[in-house]
Order: sequence, then structure tokens, then C-alpha cells
Amino acid sequence: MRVIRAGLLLRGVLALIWCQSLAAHAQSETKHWAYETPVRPPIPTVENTDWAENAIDAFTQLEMTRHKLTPSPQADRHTLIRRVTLDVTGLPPTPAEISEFVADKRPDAYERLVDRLLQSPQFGERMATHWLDLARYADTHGYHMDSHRDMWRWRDWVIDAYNDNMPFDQFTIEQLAGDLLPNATISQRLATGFNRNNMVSFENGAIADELLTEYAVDRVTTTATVWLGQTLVCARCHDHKYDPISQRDFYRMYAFFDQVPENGLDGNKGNAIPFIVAPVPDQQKIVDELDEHLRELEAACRQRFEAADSAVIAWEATFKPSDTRSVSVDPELVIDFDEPSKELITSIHGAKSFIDGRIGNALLFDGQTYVDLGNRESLEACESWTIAAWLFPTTLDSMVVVEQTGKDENVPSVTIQLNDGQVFVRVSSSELPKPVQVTSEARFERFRWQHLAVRYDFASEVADVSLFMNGELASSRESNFLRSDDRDRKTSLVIGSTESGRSFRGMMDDLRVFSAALNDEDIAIIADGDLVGEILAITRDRRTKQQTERLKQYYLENYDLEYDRIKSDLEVTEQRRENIWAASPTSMVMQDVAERKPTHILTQGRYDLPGEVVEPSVPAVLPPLPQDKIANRLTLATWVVRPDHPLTARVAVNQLWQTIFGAGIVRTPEDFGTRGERPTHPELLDWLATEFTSDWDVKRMIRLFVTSATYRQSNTSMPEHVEIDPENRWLARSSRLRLSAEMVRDSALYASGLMVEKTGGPSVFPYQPKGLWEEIAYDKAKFTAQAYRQSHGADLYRRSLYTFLKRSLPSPTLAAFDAPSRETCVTKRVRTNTPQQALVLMNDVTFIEAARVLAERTLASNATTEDRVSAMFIVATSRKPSEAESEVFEELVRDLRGRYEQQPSLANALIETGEAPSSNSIPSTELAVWTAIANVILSLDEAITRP
Amino acid sequence: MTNHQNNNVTRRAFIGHTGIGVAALASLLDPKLLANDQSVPHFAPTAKRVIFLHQTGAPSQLDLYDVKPELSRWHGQELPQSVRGGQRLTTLTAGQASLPVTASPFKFARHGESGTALSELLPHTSRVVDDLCIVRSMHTEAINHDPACTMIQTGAEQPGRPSIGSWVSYGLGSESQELPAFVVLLSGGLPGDQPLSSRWWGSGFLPSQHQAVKFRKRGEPVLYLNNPAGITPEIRRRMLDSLGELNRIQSAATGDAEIDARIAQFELAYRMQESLPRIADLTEEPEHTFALYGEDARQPGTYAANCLLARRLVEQGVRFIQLYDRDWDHHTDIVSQIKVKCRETDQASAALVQDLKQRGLLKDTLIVWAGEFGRTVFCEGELAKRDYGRDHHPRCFSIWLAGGGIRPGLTYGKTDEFSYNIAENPVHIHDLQATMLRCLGIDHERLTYRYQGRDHRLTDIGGRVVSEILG
Repeated sequence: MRVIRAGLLLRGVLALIWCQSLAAHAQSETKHWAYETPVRPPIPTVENTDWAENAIDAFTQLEMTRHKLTPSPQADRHTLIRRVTLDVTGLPPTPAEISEFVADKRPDAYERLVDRLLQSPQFGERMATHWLDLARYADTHGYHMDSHRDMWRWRDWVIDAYNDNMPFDQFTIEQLAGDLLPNATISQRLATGFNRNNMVSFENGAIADELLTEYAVDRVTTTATVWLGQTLVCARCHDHKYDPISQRDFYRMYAFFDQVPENGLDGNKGNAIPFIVAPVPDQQKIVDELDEHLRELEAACRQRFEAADSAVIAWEATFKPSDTRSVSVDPELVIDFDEPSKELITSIHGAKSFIDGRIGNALLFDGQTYVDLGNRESLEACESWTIAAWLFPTTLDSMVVVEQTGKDENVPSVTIQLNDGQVFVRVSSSELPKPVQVTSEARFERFRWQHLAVRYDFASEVADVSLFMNGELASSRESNFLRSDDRDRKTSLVIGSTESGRSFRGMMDDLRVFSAALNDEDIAIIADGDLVGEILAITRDRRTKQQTERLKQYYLENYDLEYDRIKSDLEVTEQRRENIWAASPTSMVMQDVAERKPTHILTQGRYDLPGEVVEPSVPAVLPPLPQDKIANRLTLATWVVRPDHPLTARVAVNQLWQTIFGAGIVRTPEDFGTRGERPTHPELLDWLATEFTSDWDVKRMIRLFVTSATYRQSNTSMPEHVEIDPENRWLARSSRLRLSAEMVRDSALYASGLMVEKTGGPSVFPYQPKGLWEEIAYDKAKFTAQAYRQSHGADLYRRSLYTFLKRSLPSPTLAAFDAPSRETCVTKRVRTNTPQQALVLMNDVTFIEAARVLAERTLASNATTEDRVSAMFIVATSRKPSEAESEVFEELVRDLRGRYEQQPSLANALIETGEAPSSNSIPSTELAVWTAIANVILSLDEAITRP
Repeated sequence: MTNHQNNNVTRRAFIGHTGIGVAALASLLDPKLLANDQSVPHFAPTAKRVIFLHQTGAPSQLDLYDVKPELSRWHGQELPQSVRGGQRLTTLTAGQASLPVTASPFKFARHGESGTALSELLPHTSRVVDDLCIVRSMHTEAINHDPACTMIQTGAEQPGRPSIGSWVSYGLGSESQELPAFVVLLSGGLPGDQPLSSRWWGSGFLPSQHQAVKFRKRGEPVLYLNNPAGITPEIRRRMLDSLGELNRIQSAATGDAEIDARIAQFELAYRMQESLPRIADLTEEPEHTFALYGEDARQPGTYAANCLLARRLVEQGVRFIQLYDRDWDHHTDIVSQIKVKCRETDQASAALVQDLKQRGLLKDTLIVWAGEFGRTVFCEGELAKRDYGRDHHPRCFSIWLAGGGIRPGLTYGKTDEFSYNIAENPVHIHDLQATMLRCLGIDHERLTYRYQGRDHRLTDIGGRVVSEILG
């Protein structure tokens, strides 16, 4: 160890003491700086104006001068393009991009480069990665068995928002309250997934209320951290110890987030409620096209219908009764519910609601309603009968359509009911050897008119029941569903059931009873609802509007070929739309319950100690909510982005600054309270904040940052700066920063050419050591995300932000480089330097395979050792190797070649690493040598560093 | 093993070559911390390292450590309301019409000079009982596994906090130059066993070098340790020589000490490649070791093998070794299932105590045997004659500690006659954590880390050092 650091150590201590005294000073102020609306400061005048590129530089230069520092010169072009490409896209530049930029002599070459990068789709992916840390985005629920969820549509929303340069105020409002916007779109509802990224439990035995409390606490805490830079969670159990935030303030904010109609225990089967169908763009495109087509078809139907009047009259004139099909048997009983007779009214028990039905009116059955037909009709066991009706069920619960209870020995018991949409019929009687019981295979759906006919055919002492659904014989099977007949009720025929709660729910229309077994043709006619003959028998001017329309409908459906064509197109199109909808992914969203639940202050933060009731509001130290708006999430979201908000813009630009410069102007991005660090450049922060609120344009801010002279400085030219300002607070140089976890892996994939660049989509499963999930997993057979099923092909090489993130065991490759587990909001990642990182770079198949493929690619187009080293070196580090470096490689190549030529089996083994197909044209020893060289190059400190 | 964090150049470079903990170093650097007097250790330590044997799923105190001979009188009768006192139940038994008292079917007998009563399920533990301190009055708030395990490991029920091993790594660093300060070993895991989460050995808001390194039962002992096929140690050595040379050229050009740290980490990784497989290889142990730990210890990944591995890691100076053994969650068939679990663990737990003692390591190694909570005196489901279950019970449970400054042969704390409530000397999870840190020479109130504006500590706002069980 070199001991030169001792001096630095002391100076570091002194610098820190100085900072602390500043902070102590700050605390004695009357109002903490961050709670005052930023006032746009004048841009300072500085001496050396030649250096400055934009306003940022005047502010930074002022601090440099104060600290006896001078700006570093601009970095060389290789460094600049590497730095800005990594910062803006998360990927290194290609050799072609480097040489183009280096050769570009135009004065605005750099600005052009920046504009190109800001327009690339990789920008959104780069920016999203930080936002996903803030939003604690993951692909599993987190608690206990930690099974999978689908939030990647939300993740893609974030990427798209950055790429479309959605203004930050809109970005905020849609994520916090998109669901409450008027006529909220799928995309706006999708955006609210931000606050559904909290962990969810399905642990057996857990207490729902306790978990619901944690979910809401997580939401309020995260929202306060991300947008306000406030440590609100400190006020969960008591008033905040350091900041002017009371416990009451906490629960007033909490009251915006505890109204979700969700389950305490959920997530055992994918997404937890509430969630929406959120088609991917390709699916949405088809859905939109189909919707458009459906609208056209419906319009065409209507048009055809409107225009058909004269055609109907013409047709009617030529119509012969034999042209219409009519039922050969007259019914014993018809109840059409159209103009209810007094007799019918008295036989209806419960609510008597007649509403627009299948034909004319129908009767509404609410579960209590039933129609007792008394002795008007009864069904016999030894005679045939048919009973038919139009049904519009509103539930799939078990419910009785028609019932006849036989207490009297001569009357059979008949039950016709729907069980989960399946038709069940039972006829039992002392006159039958055993009860006849059948169940349909098919099911009726809810919320549609469907026709049911039950045919009881008694011939030669054998009873046979056939079921017809929508006019067609439905396949049925003998049922084992057993029910006792010993019910002490009267023997009459009842529509619905006298037993409360068992009766039909929905609408019923046109019930007919025949004392014969109707043939299939007759049943088909009834099911058509074809009462055409009857309508035609009425003179035209005496027909009701409904009858006229029904006739027109009949004409169109049976005689108008064009109408028929449109109709079948409509049906096919509807089915296609339904299929796409069913195949579309879902995403969890925010939603509020219809009626507000009271929010209590929780004593000691405990779910089971509710105290005083509070209304939703914001901390008293901050500007108040508008008086004239209801205090809901939308009002909160709008308040967050009001231009004079003291915190939002400062917190947001600080995070953007951190993304580009490696550390924030406030180095505690999560805490702008009194315990947080003071801004290093308070005026600059306020200037940027006011600049940002003018248009909330994220790309413009990033452009401003990276085109500043401050950003473009070299980091190596002035070693004395390191001694004076070890942490680079005063920005008189650029910071050398280890790449983020995602960038480390992505750079290797990109360098090798393996990377598959595709924006968005379901998360992927790249290489991971075997058995890792299984070691900690719950029941593999019952729950998802318990066993790791590695992807193959393209999905092995997607950018790392698409790697499936299981919270209880995140990707070890990424975790080694400080990627968080996304259980909680993270505003700032640490950058460690560990032996595990060395092991990943040395041995992870991801990196060995990347080395091998990089070697193949390089060997294919470069002949000499020098060219090969140079080509590989530049893809990894964005510069050519120096002479001294080349010599190290030359020597290593010679040495390795000797070793692999002596042991060709080793070479063969090495080049088999990874699933990417290998080129056979390169001798294996040569490929092994260069794979090892590439492994060294990809492991260089410089290869995983943003200069 | 030493680690580096680069938010302070000087700090990083300094730590890299001293092996002292970050907190210890921080006191030299950060005046704010200095004011809080964070120099670690705060006291003369009685333990240098910890082995934490976490029996996840929660073993039944009633069938193992908390002897209740009088309970047979109550067997099958309803648990008196006065005992339950309206305390909450899990949703597994909250809807149960009857909560019949269920006496343990296992015999208890007194052992050792201390005369401590233990269940017949623990014949081996009974042999070393005079070396143990049994605490029968542990309690926690969490009523389910996930929050309860998170609590005993991180001091909070909700995620985000560092685990106890991470705090120790942060506070004390490692004794070893080649091994991590914090190691985790897993065993068990039949389908349906309670799942684990890496959160329990994660570093929370502490820098991630303080998270545990997991040793695995097959393949490479730790992730990415093995060179790929075709790269021999000699070839790797040659590659690293060149890599080091190239990194040094960069270091000279940039003056960035981070690069020097990286060179050191690659060298450390190489040394780990040499040493770790040797340490993880149990086959070189003599026959009498397997006689002591049991034949299971020959099978990598078993609890017995992990106990043996823990001893080997302790010998190498690993600071904190966390074992997790699964499948103690006996909601049904506890009578048969707990027998199986005791057969799998009793001998090895006892062997570890005995082995460390005869090697002179027990005096400065703290062993803790604990679940995350206890189990109910009433049965879950029907009280069948042959078998039944017991539900989660956070209000009292039993653990034991040994070595590292803990008073041997002591039984501390008492529960009521139903092992439902604590009658004497309650010990909260935070108290246990404070006591464990105390053994390591750390004042639990002074080992803090500022995150989100607050100086966090393992014991949150609680914790009392249970001095009665020390010395």
C-alpha cells in the first residue's frame, strides 16, 4: 500500500468538517431552504467567459473560484463520445461512431452527437433504469413465496414516455393519478402502475389489514421520496424528529393512497387486483383497426336497417304464409310479459319490473322474484311436454329457471336450473323407475339473450330429456348432481323458485309451454324468436314500433344478402377482437373505491391501533392544496407539479443531474429535509429548477447538462484537483465512474455484437447459475417464479433492464454490481468494488461468451495481432491502445498461443462456452487465445468505467 | 476479505489495506460520526465471531425446550380465555371453533450438572446442555414467517434494512484476508417448505459488499468462483498478470485510486479461487469428525454438513456465519415431523458446540440456535390422537445461545403454565440482537448508518442487552 493517502485523508476530514458546519448553520435558519419556492437567481458573471458553454458553467465556475480551483480543459474526443454515449444511452459508442465524431470538424459536431443520442430509442431505456429503481419495479411480488407479476407494460410505458419526451408534469400526473383524468386512456391508467409496484403478500395465515397498511405506507413513502425528497416515513409512528412533518401530516398524505380496492392477500396467480388489460402496441394496433372496422360495420347495419322500409313493404306484398316457418303445435301457455294481465301480475311474487326484453318487454328476476302459475299448468311424468323461454342471466350462480315440486304422488318434481351457466334438468316421480337427470356440456353466458328449450319425451314407458340451447340440440350427459326432493312446498308450476336466493337472476321473456314433444325444427323456429307470422297477421298500422322493427329485422336477416354479409363480418370481427383482448397482457393499476373509507391516524404506526380520522391533505409546511378541488390523487398530482412548488422541480433536476454527473447537487437525493446535505451549488439548483418548470422538458435539461463546459471537462489533467476536492464537489473536473450493473453487462454484450436491441416486452431469463431459485423456493408445482427457466436465443442478449427481477433472489450478475433488489425505493446506488465483481467478469458465462464472440468477430476482419488487439480494445474502451498496452497484449498472445497449442483440448473446451453458435472457420487454438484476450479486455477497469 | 466503496477516495484506499471495518474507519473520517463516538469495538469483545443456526419455519418450544409437565391435565380442554387474553391469531386458526390445549407427547428429563429439562427429541443437545444458555422467554410481534424472519434477521418486519451479519461486517470487517466477513449456508427445502429470501442476508441500505456470500452445496462453492472450462489456474494467473499490468498503466494515467482497488480485488478473487474449494471440501475431515457430526455431514448441503462447514469457516476467521434450515413449520403432523427434523439437526447442533469447545474456539465464538417465533399450545385443526398441528406463536418461544461470553448452564426466562405468555424476564428480538452485538464488543445504539436522514441501527428504537445471560 502506498501511504500517500494519509495527506488526502486529513484534507478529506477537513473538507467534511467544513461541510458539517455549513449544515449546522443551515439548521439555525428560520425556514429550511428546501421549503421555500426557488427564486430564479441571476447568472453570475465570471472572469474567464471563454470557457463557459452555457449558464451552468457560470455557476460552477463561481464555486471553483471560491475553492481556488480552475476548470479542467475539455476532454479529448474519444473520452467525450464515450462519456456522453454511456450517460445518455447506457451503451458505449461503436468504433464507427467514434471515428466519425473524431473526424467531424464542424463547430457543432458535439451538439450534433448529443442530439443524435437523445433521439435514439436507447435513451428511454437508459433513463428508465433509474426510474425503475425509484418505483421499486420488479417482476415478482416480493413477500414470502415471491411469485411472478406482470408489470412490464408499465415499465414499457416509462421507456416510451422518456423516448417521447413526455413533459415531466404530465409524466407525474399520469403516474400518480392517470386513472382519475377525464376519459382516462389505457395508457394513462397503465401509468398509475407506479404505485402498484409495492410488494404484495400471499402468505398463508397473514392478516389482510396489516398488509393493506404496509401497502399504503409504501406508496406514500415512495411518492414522498421520489417527488418531494422527503423522509415522510419517519412520521409514521410519531412526529418527524428532524423535519416539520407531523404524524398527522403523514396520515393525511397516506389518505390519498389507502383507497385502492385491493386484497390484503393476493398475487398467488399473477397480478393482484385491480389490474387492466393493457395490449402491447402491436395488439393495440389490431384492436384499434378492428374497432374501426366494427364501427363501420355497425354503421352499415344501421344504414341498411334505416333504408329497408320500402323493401319490407315490397317483400310483404309478395309474402305467402308458407314462406315463413311456423310451429306445428299450439302452445298450452304463452307468457310474453309484454302487456301483463291482471292474472299474471297477481301470480308474480317479489318485484314486478318489466323492462325492454328480447321481444317487447321481459320480466326482471332479482333472485327473489318468481311467478307462481298455480293450477294453470302442470308438467306430467307420463306425458310429453316442452318448455321454452328466452333467458338473459346476470350471474353464473346456481339458479332455478322453472320448478315444479311434487308432493302429490301424481305430480312429478321438475327442476330446470342453471349451474355456472350449464343447464341442469331433473324430473323425478314415483311413476318413473328412477329420476331423469341431465346436464348440458355447453354453458349459457351472462348478459346475453339466449334461448332455452327443454323437451321431455315420454314414449313407450321411457322418459327422455333433450336440451336445446339457442334452437340447437345441445349435447348433454347424465348428471350425478343429487338433490333431495323432500321439499315441503306446493305442487304448482313456478317460474323461478319460491325459495329465496335460489330463484333466477336476470331477465326472462316469451315463456311457452307445450303439451307435446316438439320436433327439432319447431324448437328452432321458436328459438329464432320468429313471430313473423303473428306480426304479419296484424295490419301494418296497428303494429307496435317493436313489431315493425322486428319484422324489418326478420326481412333483413332472411332476405337481404348484403345485410347477412355485414352481419357475419361483424360476428367474425367481434370474435377476433375478443381473442386479441384475451391474449393481451395485464398490468396492475391504481384505482379508488367508490365510497371513501375513513383514514385513521395509526397509533405507533400500528394497523390495529386506529386513532383519529383524518382527511386527505398535504404536509402543513408545504403550500396548501387548492380549496376548490376535492382532495383526491389527481388534485395531489396537480399540486405536486405546480410551478411554485418548493420541492418537486429541485428534486427532479437533482436526480437528472445525478444521472449525468454521477452525484447530485444535493448528494442526498432522497432527503431534502434538514438532515439531508445542503446543495453544493444552491443557486445553480434553483436556476435549473426554474428552468425546468418553464416547460418540464427532460431532454432539454439533459442536453443542457451534457453540452455544458462543466460536463465536458477532462478528469485526468489536473491531479492536484483530486487532493483539493477528493469527492469532486466543486466540479473542476469530470468524475470517473464505474458503470452501473446494467451497463457493465450491456457493454460486454454490445461489444461482442451479441446484444439484441428491441424495446420493451416481457422480461427475459438470461444465464444464471443453476438451482439458485430452487434453493429458496416454495412449492414449484403451485406457484410461478419458483424455478428458473433460462431463455434461449435472442432473449439471452437483451438489455439488462429487461432481465426478470425476482425480488427474493435478483440476478446475481447484476447484484454483484450493486443493482438493488427493488423491494423498496432506491434513489442512489452505491458503487462498490469487490472480489465478487472480479469473479463475475472472469467467469460468468455471459462475459466468457461475449469474449468468445467478440474474438470471432474480430478475427474475421483483422489479420495481425496489432489490428486485432486494437479492434477489440476500442470496442471495449472507446480508444486505441497505447504502445505500452499493445506490448502487454503481444506478449500475452504469444504466451497463451504456446499454452493452447500444447493443450488443444483446453482450447476446444473454452470456445464451447455459451449458447451462441460458434464459427467453425477459426482454428480452435487461435479462437481460444483471442477469447482469453477478449476476456482480459472486457475485464479492464476502463471497460467498466465511464470516463 | 476486504472491500471498497468509492464515495470517498481516501476512505476506500485506506480500508483496502487494513481490514478494519468501515465503521471503525469512519470514525477517523467523518466528524459527525466522530461526535457520536463510533469507534468500534465499543467494549472488549467476548466473541470474535457468530454462528447463527436459524431453524426457519419456527420449531415448537413446547415439544423441545419449554417443559410443561402440568399441561397433560389440560390436554384436550379449551384454552382458557384468560390465558389468550384476546391476542390475535393467524388467519389459519382464527376461524377455528375450538382451541384445545395440546400437551407435548414427548418425555422431558433433566440433564447435566445444571439439571436442565429437555425433550427426548434432543438426546445430543442434552449432552452439551451445560454449555448452553436456554432462553425460554423470547418474543416477537410478527405472526407470519416472512415478517418474522425479516425481523430476527434485520430488526424490522418490512424490507429495506441490513441483516445482522451485514451490520457486523460493516462494523467489524473480516478477520480473514481471503474470505468474506459474512457467509450464508442453506439446508432443507422439500416442496412446500417455507421459502427463504436473500433479503435476510442482504445488506439493505448498507453498501452491498456487506451482504453475505452464499456457499453452495454443489458445483462451485460460491458463485462464479470456477474458471471456465479451458482456463486453467496457470492460464488465469497469466491473464491476471497482464490485466494487472494494463490496469496499472491506466492508474498511472488517471491517478484514480479506484483502479488500484480493482487490481487488488482481482488478486483477492484469484486467492479465493485457490482457498475456497479447499475450505468447502469436507472430505479431508477425519473419520471421527463424521462420527461427531453424524453421517449426514458427508452429504453436502445437509444441515450437518453446514454445521461442519461453519466450524471450518470459523477457523478461517469468517466473522458471521448464518445457517438456515428449513421445514420447521409444523401446521400438521407435528408429532411425526418434528421427530424427523430433530433427527436431522440435533446431533450436528450439539456436535458444533462440542467441536468448537474442544478446539478452544467456543470461548470466542457465539452460537445462537433460534426460530423466528414459537408455536401454539392449542392445536391447529383437529386434535387427533396420533397427530395434529401447531400454529404460529409469537408471544413466547425458546432459543439457546452458547460460547462467546454467554453464561453456560443457565436457563433464563419463564413462560406461564401454557407456554402462552411470558411470566418472567421477557427477551425481545431486539434484546437478543443487542446482546449478540454486545458479545462482539458493539454498543447496539452506537453502530449506526445514516440513511434517509436518520441514523439507523439494527435494534431500531429498542434493544436491551440481557446482561443476566452474559459472563
